[in-house]
Amino acid sequence: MSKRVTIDPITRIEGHLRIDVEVDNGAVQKAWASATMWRGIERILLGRDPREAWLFTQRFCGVCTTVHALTSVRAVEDALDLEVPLNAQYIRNLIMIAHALHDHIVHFYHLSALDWVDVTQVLKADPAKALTIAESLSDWPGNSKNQFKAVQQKIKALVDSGQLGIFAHGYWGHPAMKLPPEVNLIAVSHYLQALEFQRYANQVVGMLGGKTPHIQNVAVGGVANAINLGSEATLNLDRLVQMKFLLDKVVNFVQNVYVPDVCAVAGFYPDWFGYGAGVTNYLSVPDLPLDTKNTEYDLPGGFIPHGDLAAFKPIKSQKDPYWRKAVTEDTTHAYYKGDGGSSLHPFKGETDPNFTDWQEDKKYSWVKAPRFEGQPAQVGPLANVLVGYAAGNPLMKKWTDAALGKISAIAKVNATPAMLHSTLGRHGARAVRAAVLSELAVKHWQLLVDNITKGDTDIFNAPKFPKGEIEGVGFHEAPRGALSHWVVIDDAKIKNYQAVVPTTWNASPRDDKGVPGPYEASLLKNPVADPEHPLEVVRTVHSFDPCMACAVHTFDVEGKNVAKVKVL
Amino acid sequence: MQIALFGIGNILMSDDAVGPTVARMIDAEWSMPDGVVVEDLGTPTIELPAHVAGLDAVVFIDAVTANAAPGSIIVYSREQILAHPPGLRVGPHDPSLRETLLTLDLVGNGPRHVVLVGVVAASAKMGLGLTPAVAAAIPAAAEQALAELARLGVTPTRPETKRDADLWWAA
Repeated sequence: MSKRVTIDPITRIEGHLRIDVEVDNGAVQKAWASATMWRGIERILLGRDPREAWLFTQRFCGVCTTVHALTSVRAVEDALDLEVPLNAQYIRNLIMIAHALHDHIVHFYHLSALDWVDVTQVLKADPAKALTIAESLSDWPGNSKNQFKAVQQKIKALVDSGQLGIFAHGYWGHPAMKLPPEVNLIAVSHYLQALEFQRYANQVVGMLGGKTPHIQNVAVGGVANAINLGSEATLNLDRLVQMKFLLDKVVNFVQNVYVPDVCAVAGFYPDWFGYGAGVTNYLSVPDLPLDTKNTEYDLPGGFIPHGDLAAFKPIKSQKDPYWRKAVTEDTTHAYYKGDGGSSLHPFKGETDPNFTDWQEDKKYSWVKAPRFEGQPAQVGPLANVLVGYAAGNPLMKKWTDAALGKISAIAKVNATPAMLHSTLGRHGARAVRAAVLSELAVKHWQLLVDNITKGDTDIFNAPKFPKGEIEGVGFHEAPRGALSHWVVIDDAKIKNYQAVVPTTWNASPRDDKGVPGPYEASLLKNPVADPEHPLEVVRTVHSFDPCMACAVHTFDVEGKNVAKVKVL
Repeated sequence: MQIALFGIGNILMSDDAVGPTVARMIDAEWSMPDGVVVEDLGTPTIELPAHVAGLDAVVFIDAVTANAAPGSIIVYSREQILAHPPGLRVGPHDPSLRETLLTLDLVGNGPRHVVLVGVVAASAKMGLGLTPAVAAAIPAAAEQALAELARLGVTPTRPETKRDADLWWAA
């Protein structure tokens, strides 16, 4: 049979990310992040009914489907000043939390742990010693000598077969791998167990959303989850209890496995608190609304300039003029025409392609350069945690301090919040955020149950579209950071639509002033021990949780391509 | 036996919509016996293992590129799907069908029987709607998918009332 599947059945969903770095003296000197595929999906929405935009936007992506559905309806609701019933807010919040927990667990264990964990070292581990270490980290009952032995046997069988299967493309034996064999064994064991727990989180999304990916229960004005505690066909007591059962398991896993594992891995790589800071302006948007008008939130939002937590400025709501005016997108180095000027507010945003070729001093990416008050900003769990910390959010403070304490004990250093401006800081912050969300999962489940038992079964306020032009913005603190959709509606039809997504903030190319984006800046001075195997570059790019497939190319300062690491 | 027929693809990327389209059409036109589900999975990526874990057999329908005319139907066996190792993961889009099957094998709850009914695509560019060659291949793709189910002993029946395939994006 002929060669097959160059469009891989699952991976060809979105634009690919290409990273180019120049390595000299064992470290990265210059870096470019470029997206190699046009998204441009906004153009499909022009002229359509704003009530159906969410169905399309959640197909932007294969991972963050729910986030684009929810953000889209929020944008249209904002344009209409439409209140959202409490039940609908809580149901949406639970979907967002469950999706984020699923996503964070998968990101650490299945997408990035193998940058730090050497699977082949597992064979050298002593399962009894591994149990002693695991028990010193937490009292999770899923750890046992038998479990560790069984995992070691599975890995041995793989190695003996000569086919490492899913582990075939790791950087095994790389000089940058530092974990003791027992910690490698614990991590691989939890890698396999995490598959089960991420599924529980995803099941909650499916129960409320009807299906996942691509939830079906959202509507402009609320949700389509009919509530009747006594009915078989609706959201009822039985389903609520099932959901709580699943959430409790995930909460336990996050707090007693994920957080300790990240702290343990971080504790053995303290150098990596010194690399990868990049852009230290942080942007996070408030989320998990507690009222029908989106004025109070459980997660605070705001902007931190230059890593200075004392200079934190809050973003209070979608209506906050500080937020609404601050966002622009620059196309100086992006493959767009930019006829209206290179830097435009999203309401005036244009998506007209103008592909040149990869030109390092001119245009080199399909990603626009989003700016907040004219500056690049890093988004994601680290921004969310630092903003929460700066705003004095008690849960963010509690879990950040707990994680720093654990890391301090393992690494025998004094870990401080300042160390979080780093590659490892992004992993640590993601675990902290997951722990915070795990507590909020229980809270929002209870809020929903209490509101329903009070007799409130409202789920929907019907939207009414006025004649003429209106505009709205919806935002969401998604797993990868601040996401916003900006919509202009004219006579009940979409006139303009722009999605400013987290990976656009982080993978941003240089802007009109030549200022690089977060990925680009974070790679500078990263060590690269072996340019043929640039594990360290992958570590830093991974730490952002990029929402694209990625190819890493390294070449020496003469520009000769010494290695092409296809990571597709 | 727990069996699934999954359509996979992004409806915003022209011919990539063929998986979702065929799955939705089969789901509208046939009723499946207990233990058999038909679903448009869209773009599942990291969520795919959650859908596949615990199943005995899966028939996937997706657009593929191959050295054949657009609209050709090519069936790939589990062995053929796994003939090349999966790549290094960078983003959450990367975990693929291959990786899903290998991961579930390692855990011990992967399906024993897997086939991919591939429809050779002419275009995976952004846009709604299939190219003519791929649109014309839909009946053959559906027939092939049903034949794969028949091999697993699944005999679907016609539903009592006609159902809409709900290809909402095509409207």
